[in-house]
Amino acid sequence: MSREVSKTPESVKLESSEDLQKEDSNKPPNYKRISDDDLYRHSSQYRMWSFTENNLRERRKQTNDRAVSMINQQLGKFMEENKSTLTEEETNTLNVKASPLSMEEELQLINFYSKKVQVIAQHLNLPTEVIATSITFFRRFFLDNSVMEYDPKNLVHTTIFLACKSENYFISVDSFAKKAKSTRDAILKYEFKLVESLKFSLLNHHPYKPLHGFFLDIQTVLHGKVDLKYMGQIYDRCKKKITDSLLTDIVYLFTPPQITLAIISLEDEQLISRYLGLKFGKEDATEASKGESDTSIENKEEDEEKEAKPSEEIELNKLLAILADCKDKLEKSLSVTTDEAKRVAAKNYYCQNPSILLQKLKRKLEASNAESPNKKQKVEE
Amino acid sequence: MSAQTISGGLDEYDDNKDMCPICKTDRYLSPDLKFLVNPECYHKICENCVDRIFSLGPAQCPYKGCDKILRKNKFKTQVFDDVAVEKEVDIRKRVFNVFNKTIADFNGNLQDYNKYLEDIEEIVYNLDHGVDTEQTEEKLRTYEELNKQLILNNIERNKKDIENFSQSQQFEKDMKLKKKLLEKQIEEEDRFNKEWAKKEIVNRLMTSSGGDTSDVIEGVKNTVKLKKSSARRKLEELNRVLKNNPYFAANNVGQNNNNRKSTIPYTPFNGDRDLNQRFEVDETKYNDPLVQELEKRKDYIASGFRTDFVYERVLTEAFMGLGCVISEERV
Amino acid sequence: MSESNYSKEKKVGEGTYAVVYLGKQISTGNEIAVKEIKTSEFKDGLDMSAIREVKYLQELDHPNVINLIDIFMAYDNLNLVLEFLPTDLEVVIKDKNILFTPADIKSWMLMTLRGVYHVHRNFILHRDLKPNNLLISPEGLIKVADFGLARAVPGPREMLTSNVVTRWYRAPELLFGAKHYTYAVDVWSIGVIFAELMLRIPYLPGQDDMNQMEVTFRALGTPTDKDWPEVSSFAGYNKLQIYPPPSRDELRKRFIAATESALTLMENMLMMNPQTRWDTIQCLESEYFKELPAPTDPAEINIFAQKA
Repeated sequence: MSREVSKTPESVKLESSEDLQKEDSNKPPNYKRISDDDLYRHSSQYRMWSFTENNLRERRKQTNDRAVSMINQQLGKFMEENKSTLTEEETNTLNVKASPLSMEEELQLINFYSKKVQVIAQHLNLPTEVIATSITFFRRFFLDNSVMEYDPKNLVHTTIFLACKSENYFISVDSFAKKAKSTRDAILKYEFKLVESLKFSLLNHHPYKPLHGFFLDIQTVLHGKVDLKYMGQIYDRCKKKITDSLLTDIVYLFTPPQITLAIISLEDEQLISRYLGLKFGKEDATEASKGESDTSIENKEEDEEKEAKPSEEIELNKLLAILADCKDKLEKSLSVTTDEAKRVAAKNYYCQNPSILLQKLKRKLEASNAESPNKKQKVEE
Repeated sequence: MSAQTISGGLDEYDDNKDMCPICKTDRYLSPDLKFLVNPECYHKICENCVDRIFSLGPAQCPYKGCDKILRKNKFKTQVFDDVAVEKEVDIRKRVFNVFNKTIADFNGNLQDYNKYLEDIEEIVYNLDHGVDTEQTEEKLRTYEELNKQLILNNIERNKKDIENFSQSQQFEKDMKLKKKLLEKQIEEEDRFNKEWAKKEIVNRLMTSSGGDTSDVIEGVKNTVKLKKSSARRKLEELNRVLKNNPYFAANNVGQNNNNRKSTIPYTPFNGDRDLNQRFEVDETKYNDPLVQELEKRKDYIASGFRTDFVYERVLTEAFMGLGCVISEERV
Repeated sequence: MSESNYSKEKKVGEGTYAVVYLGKQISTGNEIAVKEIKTSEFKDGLDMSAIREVKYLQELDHPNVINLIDIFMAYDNLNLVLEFLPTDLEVVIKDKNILFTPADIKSWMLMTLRGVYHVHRNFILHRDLKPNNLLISPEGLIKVADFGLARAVPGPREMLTSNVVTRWYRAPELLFGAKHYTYAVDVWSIGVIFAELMLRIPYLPGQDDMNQMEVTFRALGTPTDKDWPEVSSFAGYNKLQIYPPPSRDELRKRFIAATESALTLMENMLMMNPQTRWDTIQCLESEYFKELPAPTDPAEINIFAQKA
């Protein structure tokens, strides 16, 4: 993650070494001019936590592969050590129930526990942004760490606690431990690892503020044509939907305003298409709004601007396509049932602790033998 | 480099400012005793003697041991007490009248300019100490001949610079004075207006027939506002004129040695600011009960809370990144 | 992201929560500073100041804001690798052997305002601006540093603590205990720094929190409801001594080297009412920066050569 220090370190930023070369080639050409989009491009969320679907898949695969080979190594050793004492039945059971998790299974477990993070955080009456940050931290942690390396159960309280600190909602670890029915050590145990895995980027841009912003702008652009009471009603519904969206991969694939617009659109498509059409549709509309801002500039500065590239304009069609894609993914997102989660969690546990599975099997066998001792004796004879 | 080495004998009398060593006239006897020196040998002679000895044409210096031929018109009053300094200054004047380039002639090349200055110093030193005098004088002459035109131009330019400078100094002084006067005037007017306003309010209230008191006060305040403008207007005029006045530009040349810098226009943000926002904050159009309720609370107002800051922020967050296409920008 | 890329060579400072070392980035040989955060001091896990510094420095990339180059963990300690900055404005002001001109002051003010403008543009309050935290790079650039007290501007309902900013640079609303302040508190700090640059001694040196109000109002006048609506609603307002605000002439006498535009800028940065106090944009667009003398090129500000 380190970067070379140049003599004029103005353009040095923190990035993961893989993204380094890609980032350089993707820098917008007129880097110094800060358009609204450039402002977002400077954020750590854009630089480090924005991916295409392929990126995500690759990354998860990498994490999974690494963990799988480690588990297989351990299992291999275990099988070797116990070769002589294992029955065929036991070996088969072990191969099924104590095998490493697949990438998809990992994702299931992560999503299940992310929901738990949300529920617990809500139960603790934490502010919306703190809850959102907790979930975000949690999911990001497991992008580069496997559930087979770190049990998600152990990270739930840690992420919530770190989110409280990061969002200036400070609670002392002792009172937090009491409320969460956990212990100080359990909460702090993985804090360093969490911060490290987050690559020390703690500032998140959630879609809530854009929600507020768009609601204001809609009132401007569609002035008089929209019922304010109605707006107030859908506002709360949208807020809740935003929190749900954080449980999916949406946050990596789209920017916060895009997610917000997609969610509002799911609530009321007409509203958004009217709004966007008026806002970005005709050339005149955009020109008018540009011209009005800041008439108090120095002439020289104006001249400089005219020579330089104009700041980015939104292409309506492109934006609509992005929103459609986002909506589509939102609707397709599935939640994980408790049963599924239990199954996967069990597998996770056993693949790391095959000996315990073995014990369980043995005990089970003994229990069934105890029930029908006659049968057993007959067999032995 | 003491005076004694130059003037040879007659040491005791050289430092005596009150007696001419030639005619032995005393200041006591002639109170207007004035001395002159000649750059050939810097021997001090009183005015009367100069008149007497050299009026009929060039003659030998009357000092014992000095055989220089002196001319009457070359005599001048000594400026510096130390004759050595006087000599050097005269040499410098002579040399600089020929070698009169300034740094502007070197296109900002500091090294070349410094070399040039060093060469001049060598010439001055040689002439002052009588080292290679002939060759050095030769150098001087040749340079003068080769660069006649340049020298003339520079003379013109230097003259102008000095003139400009003293003019702008004077101008600044004048303007400062004017400003001060105007500001004093404004203060006076304000005070007067305040007094007048008080009296006027009382008058009107007394004479009004049941009109609204706040209206009366408003009315008076408005009249005062209209009155106030005259001295203020003058001051604004003055400031505007000053901005456009070339004298201020001329004054700057001394400060910045690099001409190239002045061609870059001043931008306070160094190009680091986007003025084309995708939105406008128009608070009149917003129905935002949460925020609008807060702005009425005393503790919020006193803290400096501003609703436009809140709106700016959420609107910026709404539009920042809207145009980023992650699927394309991240490969 | 590992410790082995950096060498710690010399300890240069120690604060309550961190130790600063000078060192080198091994791959390039360039000088860097390493701030080692003492994690054992904070009983609630990772220290809040460390979290804040890391959180905000990661998002800020500007020539006038200190550059966070890297972060690594070593022996349970968090280490921040920062650019190497040899000196700061406090050292420069105090060292009588260093002479600087009004053009130099203008250059420093320009760079400071640009840096803080960038911080505010990202919706962050610095809350600890003072000459000590305005570091100077070997190229003469001002770098805003120490984000240990910074925080993102909160939602309108949230309350902020008023116990921020070093006392002498604390805005009046903070002295009054305001809980909903804004960027204006940073602008006040810069105004006080401006005054200090011109006077070369601290402008409002209060001995304790009570005295700070006294010193501030004696120098700049006690605010009233007329110029600062609702200021009287603050607790303790009625116990205040009423001082008149200074006239422009009195300010001229105090700041003899200041031009009219400089005084105008300072007055507006030190406006009592935080709602009308200038923001960084207004400061940068003010007459002071347009009039002569032009701000000195940072590379030519001569503070290193003069030091004995």
